[in-house]
Amino acid sequence: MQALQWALDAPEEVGHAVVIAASSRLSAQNIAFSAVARSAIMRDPEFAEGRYAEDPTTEGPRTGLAIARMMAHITYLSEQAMAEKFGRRFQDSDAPRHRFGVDFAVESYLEHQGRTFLDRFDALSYLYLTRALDYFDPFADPAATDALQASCAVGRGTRFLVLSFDSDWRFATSHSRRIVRVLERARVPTSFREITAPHGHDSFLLDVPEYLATVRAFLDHAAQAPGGSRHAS
Amino acid sequence: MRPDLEVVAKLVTPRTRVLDLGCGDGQLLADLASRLGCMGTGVDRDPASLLAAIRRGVSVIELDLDSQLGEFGDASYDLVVVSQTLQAARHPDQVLREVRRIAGHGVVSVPNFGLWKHRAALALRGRMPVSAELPHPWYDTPNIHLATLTDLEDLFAAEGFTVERRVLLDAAGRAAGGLRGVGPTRLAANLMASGAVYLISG
Repeated sequence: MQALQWALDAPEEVGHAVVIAASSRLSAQNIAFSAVARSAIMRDPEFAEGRYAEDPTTEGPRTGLAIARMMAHITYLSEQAMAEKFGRRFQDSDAPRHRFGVDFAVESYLEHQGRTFLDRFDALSYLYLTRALDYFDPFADPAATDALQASCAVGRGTRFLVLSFDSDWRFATSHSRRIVRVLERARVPTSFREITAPHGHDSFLLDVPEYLATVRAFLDHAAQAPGGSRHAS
Repeated sequence: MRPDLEVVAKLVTPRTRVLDLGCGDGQLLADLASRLGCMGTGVDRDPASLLAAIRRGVSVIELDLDSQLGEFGDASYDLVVVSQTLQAARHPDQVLREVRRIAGHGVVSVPNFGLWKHRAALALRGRMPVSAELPHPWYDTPNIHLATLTDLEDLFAAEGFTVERRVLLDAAGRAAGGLRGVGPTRLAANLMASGAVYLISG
């Protein structure tokens, strides 16, 4: 999404852009997930109206941030990926323990993801970033693609590769199709593939051969093209 | 380049915007871009073809011809190429309607099921033809809508297209110069040509 914005802002500075599992406009469902995540953070008593860093007696809204991350992680995986990774396995036993704490393997995974997130992410950053995503809507301006279109018309604009994954329900293929539709109609050189992969949104981080081969093919050409050193992804 | 694509390329006006449905590895679009200064987009679904096209710098969009051509805007191209693809579409008539909506002009290249060899296979041997032009057995072929040139020309007319040019192809897919001697009659063309490339407008 950053790559898309850069190409719109400075098309002659970006020769090639790879836009993977992205969106040009979050859906109500996407925003709803962000809202719950932010709510978990802001309702944590340690949030202190955002001034937790000034208060030496608190480490900030760690509970809220961990919960936000746990929930977000659910949206990164497909149902199939979760079923294959965890199924209904128990974490530390062969039989249910009938308690409210962590019992299923998937619960342990989410706990772990929430916990490790705390060491590398700040709650306010989380609020700002998710909010930036919610408001991100570059094509709302009818003139958004004008500069890009003009640059492409004289062969100095950005060439795009847009990719989606068929199991991604966070930013489903329809999100990528919208990006492609707008770019293609603005006569921007755009390639698109929907990659088959079972892992959901997280597929973009994983070793999916068809996905990697497609990015490689695009970069191979970019490396030969004049201005090939100008990339964004 | 595939011989029939060279015939197709000759029907394209320089510096136009071309949409190539069933573009394969992007040979035609790459050629049109480098030789004629055309801008273009390809459409295909075959993974190896898509990779090859992307690698040679051709823009390709993976989508289903039968249900997703609506992604392209009205009059957004000057020409739509439908090369060896119409017979593989589930709804060839709807594809032609999309050609009209998207560009109004099309170059359509097809095999001719009316070729005498194919007729002979059916008439004398009682079997669906398998040949150089139609190499697939009936149960495993992308060509689900085979037609004769006469059938196709009827469809063009029914869909409101005018045939501006027709180039008959020989077995190798080259412009069949020898067939000019046969004359322009529908009957002869439909019997002797392995295929044809049409420039249509509507």
